[in-house]
Amino acid sequence: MAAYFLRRVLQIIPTIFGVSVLAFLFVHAIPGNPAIVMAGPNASAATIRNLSIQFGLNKPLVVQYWYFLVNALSGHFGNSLGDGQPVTKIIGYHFMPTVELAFFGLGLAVVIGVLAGILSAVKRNSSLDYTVMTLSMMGVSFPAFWLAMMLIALFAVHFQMLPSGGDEGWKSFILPVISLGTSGAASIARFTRQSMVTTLTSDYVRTGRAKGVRESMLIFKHAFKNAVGPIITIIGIQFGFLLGGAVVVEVVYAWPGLGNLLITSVESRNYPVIQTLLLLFALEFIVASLIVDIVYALVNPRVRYD
Amino acid sequence: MTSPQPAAPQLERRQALVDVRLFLQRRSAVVGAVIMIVMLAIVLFGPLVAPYKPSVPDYAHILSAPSWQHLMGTDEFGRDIFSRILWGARLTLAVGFIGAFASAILGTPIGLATAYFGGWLDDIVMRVVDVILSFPGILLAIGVIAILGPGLQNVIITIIVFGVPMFARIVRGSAISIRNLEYIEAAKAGGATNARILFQHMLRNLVGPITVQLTLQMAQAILVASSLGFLGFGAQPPTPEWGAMLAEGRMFLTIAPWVDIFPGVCIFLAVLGFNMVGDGLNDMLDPRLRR
Repeated sequence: MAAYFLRRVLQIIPTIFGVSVLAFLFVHAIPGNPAIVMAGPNASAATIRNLSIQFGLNKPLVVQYWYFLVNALSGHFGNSLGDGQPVTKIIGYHFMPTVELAFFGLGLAVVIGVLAGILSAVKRNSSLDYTVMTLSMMGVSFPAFWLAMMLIALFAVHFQMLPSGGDEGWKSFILPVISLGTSGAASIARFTRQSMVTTLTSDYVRTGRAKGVRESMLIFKHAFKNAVGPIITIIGIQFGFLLGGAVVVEVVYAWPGLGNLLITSVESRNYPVIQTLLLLFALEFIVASLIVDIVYALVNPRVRYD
Repeated sequence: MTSPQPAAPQLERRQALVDVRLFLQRRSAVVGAVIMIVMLAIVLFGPLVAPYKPSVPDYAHILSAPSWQHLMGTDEFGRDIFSRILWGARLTLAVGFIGAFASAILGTPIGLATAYFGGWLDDIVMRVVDVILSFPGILLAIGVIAILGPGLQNVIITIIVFGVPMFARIVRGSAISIRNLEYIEAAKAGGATNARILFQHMLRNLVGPITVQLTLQMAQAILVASSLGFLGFGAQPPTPEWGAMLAEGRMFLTIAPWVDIFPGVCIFLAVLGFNMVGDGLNDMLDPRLRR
């Protein structure tokens, strides 16, 4: 297991390297001199020169990347263009709200998705199965921002049951979490069903049933335990979608998270913040995939010896 | 010198194409296909039947509720929402179509070539694909928009930037499973050029998975395009792009919900239609699920 773990960790290093190159090149992909673009239309020559020096734009690209890498590894991501605060500090303010939202959103998606998927697979081809599958097909097709708006219209405006965002404790979480978790729940339900149908129709489950193993035992111990691999994989992929979905959901609910920060930074062309956020989101996704693979290997020993 | 024709090309073609009868047996796929046809009809004929001009304000009828005069009500400038939706289909859906098709056209050869040639080409290209796909979906799109600036054209580019590696990865996966089959060996032994093997023999047998991915990619592209429109990074007002319409209507959610309901329903239905067809095709191609 340790060898597998080490190999898998080493495998992500080139990807992280590539991601860092891409994030670095981001600032250079802006048409025109990045310093002039970043400084804005009314900037003085001194501001532009300072920015050039701050980003090392007068040096060769490889040298610039080296500086970027060294700075990033020591936690320096430059300063925000608006108020000059360190980017890490600004991101720090917005980090936890997004983590909380993503955590509960993923939690909702996993619990509902896995349960609905198992139910659907056990009662396959019943009206319950069709209902769950129809709902899940709809769930993956909802634009998250529109679902968020409709939930506000219904529960915040019409029934006045829940706040449309803001900071009112657990109540403020309900609508954003539902908006964010729905498509994930739907995806996970579909994959869980598919995976469970495969194991439930396999010979060892039939043998177990013939031997008189209890049905609940068959479903959870025999079938689910073997179906869990693909389910874990899809949960990892959903995490990436969730990070993306969080951006639009945060905008609708005026959630003070990284998504909202990203949008306002794009609007104000605050490139250091955008650059760091892209890097952060990609790293989160890579780490999530790594965790998924390791959990997968823990539940499925065959993977470790490949 | 011409390379010999593959044995029984007729048979190959039959296998690759979709079996219509099998498709019609799947209710959800048929419903999806109907939605797709209706959407296509709106794209082609919508502006012809639209009762009003999409961008002409009518200050006498601001935010009026749905009625026989205005089937879906009017927005904050008194513009007829039904007409705007009929016009906007060309934008929202076209972005999806163009983005997904361009991704397929560019991504498929990459996937085929990496699978067939392998080696360092495969290593390098797939590493790049991994890196690009490490940026979760819409975040990559927002990053590209941050560089290029907002606009519908740039939305198409962002969809392609994400779609090409996606296609390359999926086509490569399917191509690897067939690259060592006997008929490829036979074609090689018969002296077929690499290009001929890739685009004649391999591509033909990957039409199924590519079609599935194309359909699902369109659904995804419509979602991304409308999300970007909603965030203000896509089509700019007064363009009746569906996502942009939702962004404009957001402020009137409390007093005139119809401004937000109908464009959203249309995006939802379009995405649902493509997803249902893609799903149906996928089930058909997967023999394990035929029970």
